[in-house]
Amino acid sequence: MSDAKTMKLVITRFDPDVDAVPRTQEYEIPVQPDWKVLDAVNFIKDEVDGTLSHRWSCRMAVCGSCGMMVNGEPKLTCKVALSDYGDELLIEPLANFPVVRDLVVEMEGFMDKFKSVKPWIITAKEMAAEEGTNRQSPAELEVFKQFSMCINCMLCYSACPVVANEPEFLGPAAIALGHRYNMDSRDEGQAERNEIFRGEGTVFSCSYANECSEVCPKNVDPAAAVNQAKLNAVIDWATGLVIPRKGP
Amino acid sequence: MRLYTLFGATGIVYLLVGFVALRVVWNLGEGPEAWAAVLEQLENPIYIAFHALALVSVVFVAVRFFRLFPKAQPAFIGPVVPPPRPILHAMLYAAWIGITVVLSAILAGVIF
Amino acid sequence: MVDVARHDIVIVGGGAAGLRAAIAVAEASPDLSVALVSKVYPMRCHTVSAEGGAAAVARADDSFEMHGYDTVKGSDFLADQDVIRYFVEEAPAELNRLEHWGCPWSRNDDGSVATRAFGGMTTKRTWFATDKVGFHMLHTLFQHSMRFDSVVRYDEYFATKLLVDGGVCRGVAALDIRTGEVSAILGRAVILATGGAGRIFPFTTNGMIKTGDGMALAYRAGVPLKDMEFVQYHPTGLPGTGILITEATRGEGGYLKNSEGERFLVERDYGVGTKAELGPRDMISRAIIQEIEAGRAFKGPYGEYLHLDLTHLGEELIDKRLPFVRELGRIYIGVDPVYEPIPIRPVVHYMMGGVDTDIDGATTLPGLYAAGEVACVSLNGANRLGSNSLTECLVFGARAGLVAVEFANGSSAGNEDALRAQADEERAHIDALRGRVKGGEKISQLRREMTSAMEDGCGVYRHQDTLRACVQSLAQLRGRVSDLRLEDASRVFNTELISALELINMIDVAEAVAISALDRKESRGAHTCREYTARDDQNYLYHTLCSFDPAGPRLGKKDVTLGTWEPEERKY
Ligand SMILES: Cc1cc2nc3c(=O)[nH]c(=O)nc-3n(C[C@H](O)[C@H](O)[C@H](O)COP(=O)(O)OP(=O)(O)OC[C@H]3O[C@@H](n4cnc5c(N)ncnc54)[C@H](O)[C@@H]3O)c2cc1C
Ligand code: FES
Repeated sequence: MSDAKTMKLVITRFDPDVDAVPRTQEYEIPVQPDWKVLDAVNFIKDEVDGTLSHRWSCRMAVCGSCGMMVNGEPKLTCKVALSDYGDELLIEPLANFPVVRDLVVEMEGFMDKFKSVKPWIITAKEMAAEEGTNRQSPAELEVFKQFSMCINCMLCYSACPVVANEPEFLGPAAIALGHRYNMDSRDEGQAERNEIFRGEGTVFSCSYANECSEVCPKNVDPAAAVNQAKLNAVIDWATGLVIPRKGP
Repeated sequence: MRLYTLFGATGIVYLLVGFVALRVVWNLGEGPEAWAAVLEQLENPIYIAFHALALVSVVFVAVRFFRLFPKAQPAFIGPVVPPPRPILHAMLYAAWIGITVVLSAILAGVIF
Repeated sequence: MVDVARHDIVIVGGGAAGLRAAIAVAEASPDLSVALVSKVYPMRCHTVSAEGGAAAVARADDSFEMHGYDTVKGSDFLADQDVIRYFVEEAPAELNRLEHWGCPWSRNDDGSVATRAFGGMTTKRTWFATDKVGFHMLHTLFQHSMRFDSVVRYDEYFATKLLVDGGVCRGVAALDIRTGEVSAILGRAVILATGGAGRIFPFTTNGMIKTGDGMALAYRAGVPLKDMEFVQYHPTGLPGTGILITEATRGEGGYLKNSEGERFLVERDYGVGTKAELGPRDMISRAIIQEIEAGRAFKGPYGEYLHLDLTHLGEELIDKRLPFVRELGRIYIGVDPVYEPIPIRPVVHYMMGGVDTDIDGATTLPGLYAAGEVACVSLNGANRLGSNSLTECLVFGARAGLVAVEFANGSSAGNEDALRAQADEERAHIDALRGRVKGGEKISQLRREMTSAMEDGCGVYRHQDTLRACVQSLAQLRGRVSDLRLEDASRVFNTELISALELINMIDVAEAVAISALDRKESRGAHTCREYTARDDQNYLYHTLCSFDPAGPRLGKKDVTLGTWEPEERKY
């Protein structure tokens, strides 16, 4: 593609072995009109400065690796067009996470939260593989489908004002995941997960700022999940588990 | 400025509305002259502007709440299935308009 | 000295195959400790990008015999028929398991799992979860795997070498990307599940991580790579990025059209018969290239392209069945498929070849197993049918896991000192590469040269002279890659070092592909020679083996297992 123009990228750099605090570095590069933000970062990595570190893989907005702050907003960089911005771009690691190196953030805390909601089907009696499949109507599927679309890109944690103040907060993606299993007609683990959701630093820490849903690149609507989970957790507690679960 | 910060910031407006209301009620207790004086003061453009701001704040909060409330309803609550979201939206707006009409009627002396 | 971590089974790869193997081990033997080593967090690996579906017999009008026959015919009779038979029989149970573990399969109105049509399949047997099947399968497997405490994950560890003692594979040396430290991760059996190698080509549907590492690791440890010449070109990739537009678009009724608006697969004889758009991928990719050569294509900044037309399917069906395709079209090529046809061209998609294994996933190196795209268990032969590979990852991932458990139970831990010494050596090797500023060759430059050599030599159609030139350039690149220049000497998250290691792996794999291709002087499945246009069962009904030799790759042969279906002319 022709008609290249140049653009200035200001990128946060940090190597824990050398830098006490993050610094920024500027790069002037030629860019193509159809590039995504990630293409520009990759160009720098490949052609200008091999020492820049960032994560990416699928370049089709599904693996969730390439989240960064672009001009102060959490973005999936393989999804946003460079042409959405002016001649200068500020690229930083995702906010609200410890930084490992340059644009790479620490994921371990997130992974622990993720696992803590028991994101798997819990049933009293497991079916044998030869017995065929469960029946699940399209309506029953619809109930949780949206919440199963999360790619774990963690943009919602960067946007969440509660996470910013209270890093231990279980957070949008993890709660949405737990809620996804709670709403699955095949699952019987609601009591266990609601118990978790009634704990400290989980659903009731959410102030429903809705920022997670604003930045979600996959329209998962985690804010809806978290706030539905609040009501479910309360009802579950109030009824002492006596109301039979019933779907549509 | 993010929407949720704006949402939170409207709290300051309601606090001030509360002070104004207290002052008005206080003046009512002080006798007819004080009452007349405070009513006159309320016609000051600054007060009018402030009340306009209060109205905008209330509308903003209501609209935002109406946008966020329906999706916070789980697809089912025990055996109960809440109405679909568009209907919930419509119900909320209908209730809001209804209450506004009734209150306006009372204030205008049309009923009661 | 490097750190040593001890486990019973070491699995390299956290995609569909690796996770399925881990779960199989954890379920069968909860007391065995499993190391799951992956260079990216499991939900990032490229299984996530699979769109269309996973095949298994599900309907009353279907049978194992039919699924088997479709597969062997799709493979141009180069698949092993015992493998096919095992595969088709196990497939439904594997997909049922995924359903039990929570995979949100799309449903029919009666609540049963829905299936869709796919290329080369006679009936609807492809299970799907809209058009994000790989994503849902992977997340289901990953989340399910978290319930097993015996599975210990090594996320963002890059395996660089197989550790072999006494002729048995007993672990891997792996670089912790986070810290830059090399450690020895030991077990009594090792399973490779590192996926494919699409990135040896410039234009591919594969993500950045698909660099054939596992193939290179096994190859350098003396295990042959099998049938590497068979590289699948998917007919419908987006020009420029290579992002895949799934075959499910055609399964749901989409048309391929040339610049004259013709459905050329219907208008002209390309061997796909009445299957038209649902013919197998090798044939349709060839048809597209022929249309382009005949001048019936559109010209664009990223080469010539044709149209995939979904406009007649309607918004409702597209939103319900193909929402991801709509999203990809809008974001990555600025086309809304509801209203406009999607520009497409053939794109490198899948490696039929891989590490030579038997039906158990066992390689020629005792203690080493392989499953998924890295392996060549010979299910796919010369051309894979779409939607067989996700199921393959499950069926053979599980089997490799179980067989590895058996092997581990009968095997000792090996000599730890000897294994550690090998890992020490590997560390020295990596330390020498990191920040090697004295080198003269740029990573991105060599990568470009490698991929363009592959594109020229190993395209949809192959010429003997360009293939020969490709083999020569690759041999040269193999020399030059030892003089890489690396600017980054830091230890923490040094992705330049990773790129260098991946490039070294890719050049080995690319060379195996090109040399194997040059040796097969016939046209079969995805391997099409301009000079040798016919299939030649007399001389070439065998698997190509390519073995590592410091002097250059060595070729060998392996028999194809027949017995159920006689090779016949492949006509649809
Ligand atoms: C865009 C696209 C769409 C597809 N659609 C379909 C479809 O609809 N149906 C179908 O059946 N098939 C489809 N396929 C093919 C199928 O998705 C793949 O063949 C399959 O997912 C491969 O899975 P895998 O587990 O073997 O490897 P991958 O999912 O690629 O996983 C490889 C794993 O190995 C790890 N790894 C690699 N190297 C190293 C190393 N050196 N050290 C440590 N870890 C390492 C990676 O981190 C990763 O976890 C598609 C493929 C693509 C690219
Ligand atoms: S690179 Fe995979 S989501 Fe961006």
